[in-house]
Amino acid sequence: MRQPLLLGPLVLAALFLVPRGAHADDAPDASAARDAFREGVTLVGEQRWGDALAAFERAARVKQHGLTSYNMGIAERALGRLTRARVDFIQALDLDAKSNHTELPGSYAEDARGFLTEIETRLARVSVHLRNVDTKGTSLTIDGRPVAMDPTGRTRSLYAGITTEGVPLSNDFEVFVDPGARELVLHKEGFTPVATTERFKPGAYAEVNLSLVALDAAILVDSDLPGSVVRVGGLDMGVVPVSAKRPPGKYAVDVRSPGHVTYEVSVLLEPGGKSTVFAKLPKEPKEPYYVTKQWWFWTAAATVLVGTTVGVYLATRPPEPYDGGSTGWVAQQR
Amino acid sequence: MGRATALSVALGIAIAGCGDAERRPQLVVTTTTDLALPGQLEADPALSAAASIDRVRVEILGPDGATRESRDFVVRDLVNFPLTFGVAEANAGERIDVRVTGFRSHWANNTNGASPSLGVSVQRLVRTSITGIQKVDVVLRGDCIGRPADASAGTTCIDAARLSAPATDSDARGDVAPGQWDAARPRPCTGAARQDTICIPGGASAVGDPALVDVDRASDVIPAPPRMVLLAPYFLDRDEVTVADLRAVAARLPKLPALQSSDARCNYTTSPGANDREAVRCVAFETARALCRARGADLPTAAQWEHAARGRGRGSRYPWGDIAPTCCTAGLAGGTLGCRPKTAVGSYTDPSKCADTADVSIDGVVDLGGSVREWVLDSPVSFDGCIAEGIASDPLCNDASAGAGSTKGGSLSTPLEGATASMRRTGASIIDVGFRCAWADR
Repeated sequence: MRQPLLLGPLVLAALFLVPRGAHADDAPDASAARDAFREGVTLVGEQRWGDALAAFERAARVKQHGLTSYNMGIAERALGRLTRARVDFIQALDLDAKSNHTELPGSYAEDARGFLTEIETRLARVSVHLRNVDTKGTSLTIDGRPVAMDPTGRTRSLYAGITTEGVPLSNDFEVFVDPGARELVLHKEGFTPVATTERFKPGAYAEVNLSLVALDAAILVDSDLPGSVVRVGGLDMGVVPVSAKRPPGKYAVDVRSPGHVTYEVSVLLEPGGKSTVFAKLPKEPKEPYYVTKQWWFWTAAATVLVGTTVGVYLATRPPEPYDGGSTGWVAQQR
Repeated sequence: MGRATALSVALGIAIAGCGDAERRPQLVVTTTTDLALPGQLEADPALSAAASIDRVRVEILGPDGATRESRDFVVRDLVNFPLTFGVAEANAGERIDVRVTGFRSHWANNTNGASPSLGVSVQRLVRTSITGIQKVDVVLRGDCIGRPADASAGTTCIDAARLSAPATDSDARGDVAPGQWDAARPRPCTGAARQDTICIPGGASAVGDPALVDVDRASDVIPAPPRMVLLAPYFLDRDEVTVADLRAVAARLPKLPALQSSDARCNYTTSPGANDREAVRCVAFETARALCRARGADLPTAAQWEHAARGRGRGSRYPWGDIAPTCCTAGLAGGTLGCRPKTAVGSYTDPSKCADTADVSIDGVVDLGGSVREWVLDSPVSFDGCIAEGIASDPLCNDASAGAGSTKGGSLSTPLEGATASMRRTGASIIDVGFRCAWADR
């Protein structure tokens, strides 16, 4: 592996020799940046790539420089974080191009391009399929970092492990992932997270299918009348208070007690959610006395009706038909 | 509500079960007959068709004799009897007459809406007033044929013992059933047939014709209303008496009227000749009768002649049936009438030569349709007014004021329709008149 050239002194010199404007207030920042860069270089010599990267990142926060980005790329690459290394190398080339190729020595630019080519061939290309998932609010993290759009803007591909902010997902997408064992975790509120460890070979094409299981929701039903009976979704749940877990969905809840008006409500349970129902059961109003609802009334009425009907029938019923014999004919003598 | 419903149903049943509806007063008339029905005639051709009915007419008459209601029932088979109908009460306690007539539509006067010919029909009158439910039996008996009920007198024929009884008298069906009337069956001859004679079985027969009730009085046709006759068996000459036949006995007949006439149409000769096989013509009634008596016979009566000529109860129009004659059927319509008939007796006996028609009766009597008109004993007057109503047994209409003798059948000189067997004419002209003799069955 090409080691970063210890150009720290040269860089410092470059930093001091570059004529500056009479900005006396830049001097403290520049000093911090030089100190951080120097520290990074020292750490690199000790192959303490993580610490060196941190020092370079401190320097870059003060002042971005192509060489700083290049060194960061070297450190990320040494750490095996190729997707980040790619971003750093592309930034180094961009900064160098903006400075009219004064920030990177020519060979370094060439090296950076070489590293990029190497990285492109070593990243794993993973096709992810989310099954039975409404992707709204869904996020996928790979080794703790959500997949994100290529920050360099050079492609519209998704990359893993670059940023801490994810992007909206579709049910099917591709993401470039550092080779090796990676932990993929699918998140969605109200669902049990799905985690899987996948091993990706360098430059390989892989497919991963992930699906989510909705979390049960909780429902609590109580009433102002002890002993009231609860039914949820048509099932008796016992007397209040009632606590139950149900799969997400819509449920009819009724609370009843003799002599009281039944309480009825429809409840929508969200995945992993919780609903509370409190039923107030007023007493049923007393029915006014209706004589028409008494059995003896209808008995008497039916008796009168039948008796009247039979009497009218007997008085007006048609007489027996005449006997017409075998011919069916009866002379009427008109 | 359940208790109310049960109580109401029980109450309704209890009330409805109390008492039946009152039945209205009416007559229930059950009619039967001992005459045959068309279905029975088909099954037993020996039965006389004249002794059958195929229609029953029921009439309801008011106290004034006016017909209040009338209805005809067609009866064809045993399934139609007994025939039952009802008569509703019109006015409480009012007298009504129920007149039931059984007749054969073949003998009805169809020009007047099928009015039954009462001379060959059986009629019964029931007179009553309706009180409650009354059941009445009416039996249309053959013995009552030709005896119409008299609504104005209130009389009716009930049976042979009560030929004219009050219409209020009751009857009983007993076991009377169609086809039981004895007279409907033929009565065969018991004696031996003489040479060239044919047995004519006796039995019931209808003579006359509804179309001959009213005739042109200017013609020589005698009115012949339908009448039922009952005949004993007899024998009839198979052929008409020929010229040779008459010559053979003429010598034994004293004081016979002149047999020979100068009219060229007459054919008698005292010597054998070409006319010997012809039916003798121009014969006076007395001569004909004398010859028959000399042979131990007599002239036939009109009823005997027609009984033999019309199929003994079948009521055929001609001796051979109902097919209209043509020139080849019988010796008819000669001269200017269009045919050239043969004159010898027995010239028209082969039906195969003339579309199944020949001048031969069902018993084999020849030349009843043509050749010569034939003398019969009866006076030249209608049976009505000469013979009493009802069934006439071996009738003979002998009206001295009208003279004796009349003629039946056609001749060489009559039109084809002259062969109509029901027709009877006077003997005013004897140019085409001959005869045959009839013997009693001994």
